[in-house]
Amino acid sequence: MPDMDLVTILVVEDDPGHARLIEMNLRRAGISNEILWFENGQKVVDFLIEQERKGGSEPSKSLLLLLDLKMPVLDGYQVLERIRSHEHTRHLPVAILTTTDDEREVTRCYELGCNVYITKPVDYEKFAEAVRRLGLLFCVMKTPEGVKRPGAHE
Amino acid sequence: MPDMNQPHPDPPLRQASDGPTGQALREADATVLKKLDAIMESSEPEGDIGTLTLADIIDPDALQAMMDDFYAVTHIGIGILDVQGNTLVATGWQDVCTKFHRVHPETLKNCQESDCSLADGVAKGTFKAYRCKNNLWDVVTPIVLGGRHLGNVFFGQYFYEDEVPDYDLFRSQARRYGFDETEYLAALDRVHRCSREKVDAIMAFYAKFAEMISSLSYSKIKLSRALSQSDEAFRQLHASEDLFRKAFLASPDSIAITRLTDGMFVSVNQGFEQITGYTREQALGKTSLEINVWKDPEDRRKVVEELLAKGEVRDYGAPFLTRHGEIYGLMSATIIELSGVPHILNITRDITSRKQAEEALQRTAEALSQSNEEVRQFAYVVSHDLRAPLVNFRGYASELRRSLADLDRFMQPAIKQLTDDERAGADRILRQDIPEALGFIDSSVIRMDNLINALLRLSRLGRHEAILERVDLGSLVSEVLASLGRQVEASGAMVTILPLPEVIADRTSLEQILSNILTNAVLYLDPARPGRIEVSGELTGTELFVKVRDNGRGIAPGEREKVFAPFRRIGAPEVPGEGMGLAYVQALVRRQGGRIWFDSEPGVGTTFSFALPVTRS
Repeated sequence: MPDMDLVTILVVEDDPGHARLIEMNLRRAGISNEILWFENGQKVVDFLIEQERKGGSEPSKSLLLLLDLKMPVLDGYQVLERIRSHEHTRHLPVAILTTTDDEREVTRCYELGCNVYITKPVDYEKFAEAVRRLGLLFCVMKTPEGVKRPGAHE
Repeated sequence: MPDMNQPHPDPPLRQASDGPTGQALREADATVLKKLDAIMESSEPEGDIGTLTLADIIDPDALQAMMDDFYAVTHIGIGILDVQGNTLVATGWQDVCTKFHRVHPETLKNCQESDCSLADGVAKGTFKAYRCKNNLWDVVTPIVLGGRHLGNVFFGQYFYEDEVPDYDLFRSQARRYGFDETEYLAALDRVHRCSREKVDAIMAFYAKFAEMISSLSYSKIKLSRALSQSDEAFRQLHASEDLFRKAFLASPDSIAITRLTDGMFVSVNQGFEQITGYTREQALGKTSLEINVWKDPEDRRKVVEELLAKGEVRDYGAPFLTRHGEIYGLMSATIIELSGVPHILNITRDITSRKQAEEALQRTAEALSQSNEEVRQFAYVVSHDLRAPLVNFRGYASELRRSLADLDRFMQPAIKQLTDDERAGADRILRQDIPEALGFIDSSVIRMDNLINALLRLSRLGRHEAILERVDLGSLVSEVLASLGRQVEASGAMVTILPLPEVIADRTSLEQILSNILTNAVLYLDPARPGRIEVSGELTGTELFVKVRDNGRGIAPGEREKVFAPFRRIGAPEVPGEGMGLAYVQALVRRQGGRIWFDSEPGVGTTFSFALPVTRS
């Protein structure tokens, strides 16, 4: 099991404002991992292909996706579909973080195999709380032992 | 001897073969048939001659004419009377009768009694000679029809050749009734004299004659009855044929009879001509494939196949070619036999316009449903695309506030160095103007978010699937009120729930409808008086009626149309809300096939009512 510190968080988000808010709140939640931002689905897919090409050069490096749904070029569904249909990325943890709370979208995402679906609330307190919980979840997901409790501040 | 209502003069000898007698006979036949027709209509059972009298069965005039001729030749008279004593036919009238016996009332009475009582009780086919009550000979044989004694045939009056009249007796009769004795006796001498053999021969003849009249008449009755029944059957058949012919001709639908084997037109109606544009002349003798009526000849093959299998075809829809263009017809057909050859009788209705209307309706419905879907899709997309920037607005407003707090802290040492005016200005900016601006951003974003959420809810309404379940409306209203608890308590309103029915309905919809209406009732109470809200409802037929009555501010007449409009708010600006509640409620009610309305009077109160189709619990 890789150490949580080695996990890179990929934020796939076409709204730079949202991307920055997510990052700020993850940091406040005590997440110190590397965070990479991709402004659309195609870019993250390109990145993943590149990773695969490199193969076992960095075998310990794990990835985790924070995926928005509505994006130009490749949207979140397409990205999720590709990840799940591809042997190399099949087991990547994917969290959907989007403004949509429509029941149909949620169902569709779970059917496509997302691990968790979180709605971005307009209320910033709730938004911050949601991202903080997400950070907590990452810890649980990736670090079953020696859990780093995120800092309690903010 | 017969009683004559009018004197019957000796007729001149006439030829029996033709002339008045033959004519009379033919007319008589007609008359009798006519009478019988009338009687037959009452449809007496077979064999019963019913209320017929002798006069109805024989034709007195014809017989009279015939017997006049017979008398002219033979000088043998006859009288035919019915059992009531009415004379129907009489010849060979004797002076002694006409000039004496039938003139004096007492001797006339003798004549009548003789005709009836003395003539009675003679067996069919036999005859009886008797002295009439005026002492002359008469002989009688009965006419019996179908077992009923209808009348008598008389021969008389006469004396036997071998007898000498009892002149003393007649002289005394002359004296008794005041007849002129000489003339009376002279008339007596003119009375026909017959030998006993001749009387027997005449009566044997008359008995046969009576038999013949009886049997002929009876046969005639039976024949007439049979004819009349056959007439009736014929009339009915004719009427039915007439009806069919009229229906055939008058039908606006196309009716055609074609030969089963090849579809050759044998008969077509006006409907066919009008619909196809082909005249009878153009169609008859040609096959439907020659005229090219079927757009797809395969359709005819299928119709024939189904006809052979089931004997009939109902409402077979197919396109047809006409001289006016293509039509869509609905054909029903059956197999009939004409002179032993199987034919198809088909009725085809031109439903082109109906079909077109249906298609147009279908297209409209599709377009409508598509446009509905587009509206929903639009609302949905807009809601989400509008939401994304709001996350930034609120997020960065908060971040600014946080930064401002830090900035404030960092700046304090520097601010302290400023002049009083400058410090006041910096303070105002850091602690008043910027927080106030951020506050406005926040409240606007919250409001925008609420509007978007309301829009989203409305756009999702189309997708809500109703789940029908048993709902106790009374409990539901109580639950809704409990969920509004704080608002209701704050308003100090008294809420009355009248007994409400149990229904089978979509609980979620009902809850949302009631919740919105009740919230409005509470929010728009008039602070000037204690609030009262009353909820009542009933089931009528298959509809649920619910009323929510309040004594609130009421709705001004000018504001009425805004009530159900989305994003429109009326009256009190201090009452919070997006103006979506009733728009949403109306959409919910309408989606379930219901309706909603209100009555209101400003300063008195408002009653919202809705009706939903439901099933009684």
